[in-house]
Amino acid sequence: MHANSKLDWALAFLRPYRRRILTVVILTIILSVLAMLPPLLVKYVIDRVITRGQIHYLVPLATALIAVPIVTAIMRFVQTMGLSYIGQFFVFHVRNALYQHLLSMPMRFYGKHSVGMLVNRLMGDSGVVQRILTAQTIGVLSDLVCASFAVCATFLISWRLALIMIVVIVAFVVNYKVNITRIRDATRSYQGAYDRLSGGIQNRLHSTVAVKTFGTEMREHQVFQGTLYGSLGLVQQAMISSNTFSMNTQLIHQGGHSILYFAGCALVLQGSLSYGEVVAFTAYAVQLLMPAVRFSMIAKELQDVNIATDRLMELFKEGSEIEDAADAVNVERLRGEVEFDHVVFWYESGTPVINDFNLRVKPGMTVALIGPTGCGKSTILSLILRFFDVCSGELRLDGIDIRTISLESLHKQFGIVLQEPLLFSVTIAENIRYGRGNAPMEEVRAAAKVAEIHDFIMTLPDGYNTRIGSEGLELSVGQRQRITIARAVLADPAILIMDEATSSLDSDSEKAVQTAMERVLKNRTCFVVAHRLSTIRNADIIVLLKDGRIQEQGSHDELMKIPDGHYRKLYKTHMGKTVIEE
Amino acid sequence: MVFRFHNNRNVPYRPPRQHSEDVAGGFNLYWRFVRAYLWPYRWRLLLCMVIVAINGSSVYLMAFYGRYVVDNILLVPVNPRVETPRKPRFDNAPSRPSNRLGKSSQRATEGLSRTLDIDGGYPLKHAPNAGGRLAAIFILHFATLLIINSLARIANRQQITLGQTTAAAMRDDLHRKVLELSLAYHKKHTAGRLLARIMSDVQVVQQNLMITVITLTQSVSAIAVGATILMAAEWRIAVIAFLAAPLYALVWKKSHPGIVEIAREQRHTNSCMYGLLSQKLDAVKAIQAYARQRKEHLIFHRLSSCFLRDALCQQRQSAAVSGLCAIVSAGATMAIFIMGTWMVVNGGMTLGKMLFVYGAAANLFGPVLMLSHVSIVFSSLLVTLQRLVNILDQPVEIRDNDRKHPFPTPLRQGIRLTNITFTYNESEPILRNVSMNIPGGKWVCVMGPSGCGKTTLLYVVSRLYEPTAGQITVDGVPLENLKLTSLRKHLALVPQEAEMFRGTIRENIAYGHVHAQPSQIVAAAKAAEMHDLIMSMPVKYESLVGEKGTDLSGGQRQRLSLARALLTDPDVLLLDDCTSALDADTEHRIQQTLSRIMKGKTALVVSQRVSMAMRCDYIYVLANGRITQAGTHEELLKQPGFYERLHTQQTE
Repeated sequence: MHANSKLDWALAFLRPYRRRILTVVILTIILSVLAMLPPLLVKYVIDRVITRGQIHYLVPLATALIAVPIVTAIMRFVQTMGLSYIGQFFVFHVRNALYQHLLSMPMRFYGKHSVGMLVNRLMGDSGVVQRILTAQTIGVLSDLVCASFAVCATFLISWRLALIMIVVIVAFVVNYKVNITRIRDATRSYQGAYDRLSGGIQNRLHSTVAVKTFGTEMREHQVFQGTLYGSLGLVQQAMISSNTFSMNTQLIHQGGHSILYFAGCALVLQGSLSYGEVVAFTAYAVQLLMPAVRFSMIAKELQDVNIATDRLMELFKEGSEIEDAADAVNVERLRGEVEFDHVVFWYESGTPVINDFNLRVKPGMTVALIGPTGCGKSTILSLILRFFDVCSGELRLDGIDIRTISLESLHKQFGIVLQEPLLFSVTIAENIRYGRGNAPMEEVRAAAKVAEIHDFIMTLPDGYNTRIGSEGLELSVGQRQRITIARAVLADPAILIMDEATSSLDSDSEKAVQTAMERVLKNRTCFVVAHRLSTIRNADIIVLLKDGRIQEQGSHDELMKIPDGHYRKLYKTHMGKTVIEE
Repeated sequence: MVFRFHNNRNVPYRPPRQHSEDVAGGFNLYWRFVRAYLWPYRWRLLLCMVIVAINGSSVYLMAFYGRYVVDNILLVPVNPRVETPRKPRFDNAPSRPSNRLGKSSQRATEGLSRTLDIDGGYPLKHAPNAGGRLAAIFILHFATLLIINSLARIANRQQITLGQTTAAAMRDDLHRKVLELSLAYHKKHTAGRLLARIMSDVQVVQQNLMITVITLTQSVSAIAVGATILMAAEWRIAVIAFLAAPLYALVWKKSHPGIVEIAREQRHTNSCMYGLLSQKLDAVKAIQAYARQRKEHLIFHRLSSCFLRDALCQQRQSAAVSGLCAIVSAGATMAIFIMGTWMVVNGGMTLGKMLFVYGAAANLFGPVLMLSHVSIVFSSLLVTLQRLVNILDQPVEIRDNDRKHPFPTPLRQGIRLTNITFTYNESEPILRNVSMNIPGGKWVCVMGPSGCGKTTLLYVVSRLYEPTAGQITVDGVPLENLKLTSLRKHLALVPQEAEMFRGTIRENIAYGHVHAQPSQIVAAAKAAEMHDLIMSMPVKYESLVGEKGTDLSGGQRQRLSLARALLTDPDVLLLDDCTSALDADTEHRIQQTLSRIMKGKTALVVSQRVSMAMRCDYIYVLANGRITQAGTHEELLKQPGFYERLHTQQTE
């Protein structure tokens, strides 16, 4: 990735703080100049007060020597606060922006990236990037100011020493050039190893039941050990090469310092320099060599930041292919007419999942989609929700192409109950209210009654205010499913979408839920995916799918009339009739 | 100065910190980890400590070289207040080796003062053979540098290897322990948090466990050496340096509790953000479908603002502390410098010695600062150690006892549950007094409304949960007396929510039986009605499956998980409604295959389908954790109740 675009990206986040940044920069420059004073003062004390005995200089010099550090400390406090303010707000904005970005990403994106990885980038990488964007850049800046000041000072004091110093600086550069690629490669490879390590752990922890029931704890542990001790070598390699580098730097720094000092002393012996000047010169040399040292010290960190920025920008760059069109219209409540017009859809081009799908649903109809697993039922629901865009053909709601409806107004039309019940670790009431945050309590209760969960909730000591999830009460799959049903009911949507909404319910409560739902379904378009034929018998249209195509379509009675019809066969099997006949 | 801040931390998705992280037996805890992980490498650690101590004190040696140069080679002139020039005595200084150390050198410098007036501060004369001696000192100085640098290289290398090795050992132990812990523990602790412990907490410990030892050695030795030298060289100046120490202590004592407190709150907020993110991103479908992005963004915004406030607070505190410390140390060093100057001018000290003392005193403050930093690191280290110990000391509920019976095969009397009660988290019992019998070679079905405890029952039978009360026997042998490996080998559970491993489909099916022949794998896949689907994929059995099986539909995952269980050819098969996401056709075919291949084997089946129950020899109906009905299909049909209602609904 190009360095410039990276910088632009960071600057976009920093722009609102340009005043503060300017203040900090000015403060930093003043601080750098202030840092130049003590060596000068010390030089004067040695050359004037001590060697020449001009004792009257002592009091002002001493006052300055005490005052400078105090002023420096106060200014540094202000500078640090300014910096941390900018840095923290930077992270804050990056995280918020990234989170907002992630929430708008299409489902295709979530199929590609694991949630753990996204969380890690949002939390971890943004923190890493912050480190470079504040203290370090400003640090380098102040170092550069120091350095340019120091260059003048050193040349003024002794050009011969200054030349030696330039040789030392060249040594720094050579050391950097020689080592940096090795460090970068080592860093990359061990970060990769760590990704694998944590990926493995996460996978295992998500699959504890399988690990336990197959008794594969030891085997899994051996796999872990393999990765662990494999990465150990890589980490050590990376750290040792960065250690070699920084120790070289230190050696060059101290050795250079030593050469300069003794060369200076030699000049004193020659009589062309005063000792005070040697002391001042070496002090400046330290300042001048500092940027090189600091840069070397953060070389590894720079690599980390570099990689982290890449990873963040990668996510930001990933545009949502599903966005509001320029002329997107806001729709009020839809009547619920859905029309598929030669819809084709594929996840990977070449293997269409939905193929030339045509269907017209009038407002208030209940449509049941059935078919073997993997035939594209859930995909059709995703298309209606516009989690994906159709690849060819058109999908119209109330006669409007779905791609021209603004996403926000579109999504207000739906209530969904999905295969995996998605709940949050807040109270039950808040979970039910998810689609309509301001619903009064009576309606929440009514919705819970429809979903046959009210009675259960009332047995809990805290009732609707019971917290659920990892910190609270654990619910069974069936209970979770019923809460999502209640949520969908409360949302009072124009179109209701139920993907295997009752698969984890026993037939008894399923029946009860269905009866109650009938009232809710009235005057509302509803799409149902189910495997149990009993669930869908009352649907207005039953669509039998196979390999993304419609195989049979019609009401229950119509389909049952087709002799040798697939639906008819399916229905008989499911009712257990064939079993009895065997 | 007020170091405590009260930010509003009452935001959604941030429950207050639960356990007070007051660490029990602080130093013991630390010692325990040092013993367990560092003790085996004690000699290497000692080597590091010695090197660090030597290098820490080397500053004084370096300062000493400088002093020698100034006082004995350059003979930098000092102008005493008495402006009368004295008789020069050049020859004194070099002739006596003892000059190097001490006061006698003063005479030499004094002697040169006269030259000053001649050439404005540039001495014309120096000690005899000054050039040669300067070169010698330079070589010595450079050699010392080289030695110190290579020693530091060795020490750093050792520290890196040691640190990484101990970290690996800790991760090793933690991972093993986490895998050993029972399912109940895993249900309580989310994967993300455990992952954070193994990866990031260990990293913190690895960095700090060593640093506390090393830094402590470094700063203590530096302080000890520095203070001794300073005292020996010039006690009056040493007193000034020591006076600054209590000021440090005061600053630190005032600020420390506030800093630690806020750091804890901040860490907690941080982990809450992790929790929120993984939960929300997992459920992004629901968020988008209800158009809640804006609200969700607001919630995150509030949580991260909370983090921001605390972070700013913390940085203000530490900036204030380091500012104060800088003022104290700068004030003290400058005071020393001025006092030294005064003493030199008054003839009580040589310039070289003054610079030496000044340098030594300035070097003394660094280690003091370091020491106060170590104590902060130490207290946060203890918090992290406590988190690790919480895992390491968690008793493993389910483990082999001494009996280690093999699993009785073939099963005769079967599995008998007597008065099983299971309570989870001290809440309402999930199973109450459940007694049932699963005879060898028979199929038993458990039915009941959702949330009635069916899954828990399966977990108890497969010894993933330990029952709170009651006993389970397998052919008369108590379940806890069976060897776990043997039990796991003969018993297979197909869970309701299928779990996938990152890898190929082949690897996933062969999970429980790694050395299975390809033909066996194909047979298992066929039995689970998965083969045709796999063959339609581009690379067939080598197709990659993501961690959550994202590319497979719910039904496909269930079938894969069934194939996995069938491949191990278990004696007892436990099915947890594992066909709920399948279409009726496939389900029916799987049922048929199952009844063929599991003929004569024992099975405990949880199902919602009457068609499945009809294939079973005996049916139990569970409601609210109790068995309410039991009997064969025909018997239960005759009684009014859950089963009979179910049957009517599903066959009407």
